Amino acid sequence: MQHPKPEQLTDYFYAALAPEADAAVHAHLAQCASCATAYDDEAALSSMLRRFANDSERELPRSVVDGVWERLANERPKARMAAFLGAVMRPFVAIPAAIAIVLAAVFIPQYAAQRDLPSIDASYYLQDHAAMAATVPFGVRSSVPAALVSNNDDDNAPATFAIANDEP
Amino acid sequence: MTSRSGAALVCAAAAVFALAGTARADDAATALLRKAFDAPTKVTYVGEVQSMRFGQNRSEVEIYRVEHQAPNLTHRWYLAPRVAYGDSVITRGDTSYTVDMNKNVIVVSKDDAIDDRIAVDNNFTLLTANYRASFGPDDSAAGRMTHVIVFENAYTGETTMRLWIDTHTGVVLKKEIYGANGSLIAAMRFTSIRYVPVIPSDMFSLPRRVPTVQGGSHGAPINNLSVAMKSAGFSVREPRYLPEGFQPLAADVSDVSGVRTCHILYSDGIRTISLFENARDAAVNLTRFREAHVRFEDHDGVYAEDGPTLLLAWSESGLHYTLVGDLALGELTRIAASVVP
Repeated sequence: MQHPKPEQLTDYFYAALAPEADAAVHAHLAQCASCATAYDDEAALSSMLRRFANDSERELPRSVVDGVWERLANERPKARMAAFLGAVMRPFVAIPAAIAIVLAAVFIPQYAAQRDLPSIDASYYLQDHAAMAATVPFGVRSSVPAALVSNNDDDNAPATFAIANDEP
Repeated sequence: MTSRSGAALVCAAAAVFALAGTARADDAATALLRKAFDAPTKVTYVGEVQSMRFGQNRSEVEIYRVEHQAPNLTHRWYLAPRVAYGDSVITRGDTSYTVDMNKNVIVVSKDDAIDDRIAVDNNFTLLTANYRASFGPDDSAAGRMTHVIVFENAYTGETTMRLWIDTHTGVVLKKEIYGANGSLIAAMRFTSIRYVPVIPSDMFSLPRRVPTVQGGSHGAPINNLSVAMKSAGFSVREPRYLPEGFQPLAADVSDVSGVRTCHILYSDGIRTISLFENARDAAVNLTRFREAHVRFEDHDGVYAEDGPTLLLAWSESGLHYTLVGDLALGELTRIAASVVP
């Protein structure tokens, strides 16, 4: 086998070569001192880089982590709501729902208004008509005497009544 | 001059005299009617009265004793119907005290039109303008001699009313009112009457220990009609059609169950119609009556009978209307259709 290229040594270090190439590089390193030294250098460099990376790693501040989790918590319901609205807006759901909303908007206020509306008993109209119609001296509803016209003005005060007996 | 032309002249003269005689008789009938209008202010009496009104499906009868002291004290004590037995109405001028013995309460109400000279004169003018008064054969009523006046409707020629008027006192002792087909729709008669110089004042006193409550007031005179309509707080509508001779006679605005209601009474001197209006669309409650539906022009209405009285109600443009009267349904719907065309 010819001497492996530097990138093949790197792939060998990371076990990224095909099995035949990996076996060939392994056999070559065992009998070639210069390639074995190059491989050791590559391994040392990789170890140094990993160690540096580990040493350089820093945790995010707590406030940043909390902020991230909070944003995640808020965005999940929105995502669910968006998914729900997406389903609702489908025509076979949206059209009946819209009709129901329109009907409710029209009839519920009317129903509420009707419940609040006062009503007047028919007896009131009949009695009030009878009372006023009785003033027509010879009308259908007049009573006896047929007409009354006072000749003086001293006649309307209940205080002048003689409260005298228990029976009218 | 031939005998034929002479006979013609005699006939013509007879006709002129007959017409003149009829005119004199009509004048005399009108004068007697005027006397009947004024009799209550001059004649004091006690008696018993029967009053009846006949409906299509139900009739009403009242029997009451009456003590009347001229000019304006009256006590009516009801003997029938049974539900009203013992109740009485004491009227003093334009104020009435209705003594309800079952409910143990005295309802005080005021009626401007009863004690108003203008209103009474308006009624007399209306009656004589719309009805032709003539004498019928003399008769007796309550054991007294009477002149009978027949009233024919000036527009239809139908006999609408007969009055039996005491020849000496002018008191109306009997009255009959007829419908358009000649049927009797209302009648009143004294079964007994006795004229007296004075009635003890105790007759017109109120019972003790019975609380009084204020009742409604009715019927401002016609000259206040426009004022009453303006005080309604909404635009009151009047019918464009009324049966011949009907005129607005009185109006009243009152709060009924918190609803401002305008009431206008129309009359031709005998028959009456009431039109009620409110602007809150407060419908009429007919649960105690047999309700029926009627459609006239583009309006849906409900109506119910109460004896001879018909009530028709409908809504239009946010206003609620109720017509009450002793007219046929067709006549009422025609009036109703003209209120809001």
